[in-house]
Amino acid sequence: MFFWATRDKTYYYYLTFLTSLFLTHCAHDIPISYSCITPTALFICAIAFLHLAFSLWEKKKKVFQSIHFLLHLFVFLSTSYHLVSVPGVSSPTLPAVLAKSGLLIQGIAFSFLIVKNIRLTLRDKRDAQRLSTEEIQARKKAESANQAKSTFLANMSHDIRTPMNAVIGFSDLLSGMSLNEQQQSCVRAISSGGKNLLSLINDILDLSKIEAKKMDSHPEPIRIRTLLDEIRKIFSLKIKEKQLNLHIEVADTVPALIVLDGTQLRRILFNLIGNAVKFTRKGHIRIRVHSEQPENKEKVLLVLEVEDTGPGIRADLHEALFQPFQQDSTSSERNGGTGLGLAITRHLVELMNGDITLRNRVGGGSIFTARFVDVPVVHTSSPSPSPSSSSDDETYDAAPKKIAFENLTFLIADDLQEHRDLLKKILAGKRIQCIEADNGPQAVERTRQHRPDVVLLDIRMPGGDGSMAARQIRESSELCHTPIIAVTAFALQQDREKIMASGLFDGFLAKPILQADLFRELNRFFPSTEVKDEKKEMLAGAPLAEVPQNIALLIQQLETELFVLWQEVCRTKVFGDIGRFADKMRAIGQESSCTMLFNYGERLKTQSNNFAVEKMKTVLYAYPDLIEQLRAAQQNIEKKEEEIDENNTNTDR
Amino acid sequence: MKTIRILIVDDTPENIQAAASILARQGYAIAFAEDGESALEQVTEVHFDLILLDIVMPDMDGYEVCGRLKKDLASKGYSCHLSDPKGRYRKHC
Repeated sequence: MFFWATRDKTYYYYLTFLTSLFLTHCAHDIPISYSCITPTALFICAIAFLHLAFSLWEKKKKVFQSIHFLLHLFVFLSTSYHLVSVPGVSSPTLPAVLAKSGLLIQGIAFSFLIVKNIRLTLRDKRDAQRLSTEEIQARKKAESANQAKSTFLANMSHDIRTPMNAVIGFSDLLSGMSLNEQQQSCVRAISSGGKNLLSLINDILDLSKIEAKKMDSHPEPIRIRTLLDEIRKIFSLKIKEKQLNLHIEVADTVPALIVLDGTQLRRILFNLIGNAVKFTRKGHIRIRVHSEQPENKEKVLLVLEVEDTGPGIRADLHEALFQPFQQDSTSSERNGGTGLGLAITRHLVELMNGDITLRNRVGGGSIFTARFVDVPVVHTSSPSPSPSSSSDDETYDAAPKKIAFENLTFLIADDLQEHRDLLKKILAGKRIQCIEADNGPQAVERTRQHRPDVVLLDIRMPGGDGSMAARQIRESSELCHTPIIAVTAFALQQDREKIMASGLFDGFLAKPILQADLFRELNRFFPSTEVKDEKKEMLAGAPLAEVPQNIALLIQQLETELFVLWQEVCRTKVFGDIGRFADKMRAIGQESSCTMLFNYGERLKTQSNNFAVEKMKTVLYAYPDLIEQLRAAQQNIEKKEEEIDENNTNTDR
Repeated sequence: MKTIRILIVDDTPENIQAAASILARQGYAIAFAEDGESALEQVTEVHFDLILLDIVMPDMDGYEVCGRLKKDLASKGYSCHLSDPKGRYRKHC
């Protein structure tokens, strides 16, 4: 019954009231003067006042709308009553007729008002409905636009990665050349910058891929303990640098082999542990893995916990943290990053049929918990290969082996000169002859002409793409056995699968090409001989080749006078002073013919000359270790001497 | 002539490396600090003629370092130069 109160009708009520009052008096045939203020009129006035007050109130409070309606009705009825019960009016006077007709008109107007309001209300409802459908459409439009953006980005992957090939590839190559230390450190900066940028790009692309719903899960049997070991290796350097402790605790109940997407699980752990390492300045990082529902031997609930002793995150920010582009605003400035890591992690966890939560650790820090439900278990009695843990073992073997192949001929097909140059340079000095082609048909022709041992084929080339060329090579009876390796910036998982599924290629290399990847791929087809890095071997074998005679004295010197100096340079961090400290170490090393000391000084000197802060710090802070090592050597010597003494005494007897 | 000492405060090691390489070539003695706290400690031990101060740093930003330097060491007359790649904080100067 409140439907008619939806519009602003204050003015209308007021007018109705005045008319009613006026008409009542007219109907009574009472001249309008002060004497006409009868109790009835006063009563009507009072009601009218209330009416007005509520009319004004109406704008603010809807609660009063019902009262309002009743008041209106009352005014109407009371005036009608007065009209009906006009005493002693026999002949109709003009005012009485006017009043009666006026009341009739008012009644009609009132009915109209009600009808109008009903219509208006209905229209309002319709409008609201239409609005909501419009809204839904708009939202759909926005969503599809967002999806288009994501699809676009996912497709852009190729074009974004292509220039990175030059940056990372060439700096990787340069770092293997004989450069002086300063040049080396410049190359390292380019390389690490490039790699950071690439990982950033990968993050953004991943997120768009997830949003475009193009990310799939590929469950496979994995060994979670092996995976955690790998992760420990990856983070060991950072953990050591920051002097943190990494504890990995895998409960005995966790099955050895479980079926999960190993690649994604690795990324989830990588993101979570990476975050923990990044934000923790002191203390430990603990990874706990346990499984539940052991009575159901086929499927388990797997729980992964990553706990850190970092600054922790305010509880009200927990949810926002999993949204893309959100970081704890108090820390985004100081820790860098895109704020995509956790958003991606959450998506990945959900993709693997799990959920992830965050809670604060008692005593500071945070605990991320990822739970995966219904994880199938593979019984170890039936040995199953673990492709994820075996195939990637070498991925983190950053230093490419110095290897050489036996007089091979390669065909390199790529439309970009610089990419061909990069491959050529990587292969240079490996007893490999390179033939080039810059499009598909040319690649086929040259293959026919030169009969290369392997064809490295770019997929996207103008004038005949790589797949077409590969098909032609495969179709030719004399060339069909030539191994073809696809080289492409289409490096997404599904690209790789698509390319390999075509059955045309024997191998796959993602741009940016890393030497290690290339050689690993080539090793599958050709045996290689390892070239011994003589210089490195010499250094590795050197430290205690010549045991200094006065080792006790040396240690004492290192622990007192030099230790004070070391502490001072650690505090003041003046490059020149560190250099002089290094000189001193070098000199003492030479004097006492202690190779370890000499090398330490040499390394420190080089790094301080290059202003390579991180490396220099690593060397500088290794000073206590140096003393420790010397002491161990001393004990060794003493032991040996004792043994000799014993032997001597034995023989004496 | 006395060597001019410069302290570079930056949380990004590469930035220190770049600045130090350039400045050392001009014959300055260079020291570095990777956070505000250690910069303030170093300043009490060694006198620096100039401090290059990064603004966006963890824990203690360039302003705070600068403020504390000026407060504690007003008599030493340090001059602070802000290195602010994004130009966002120019108005604060």
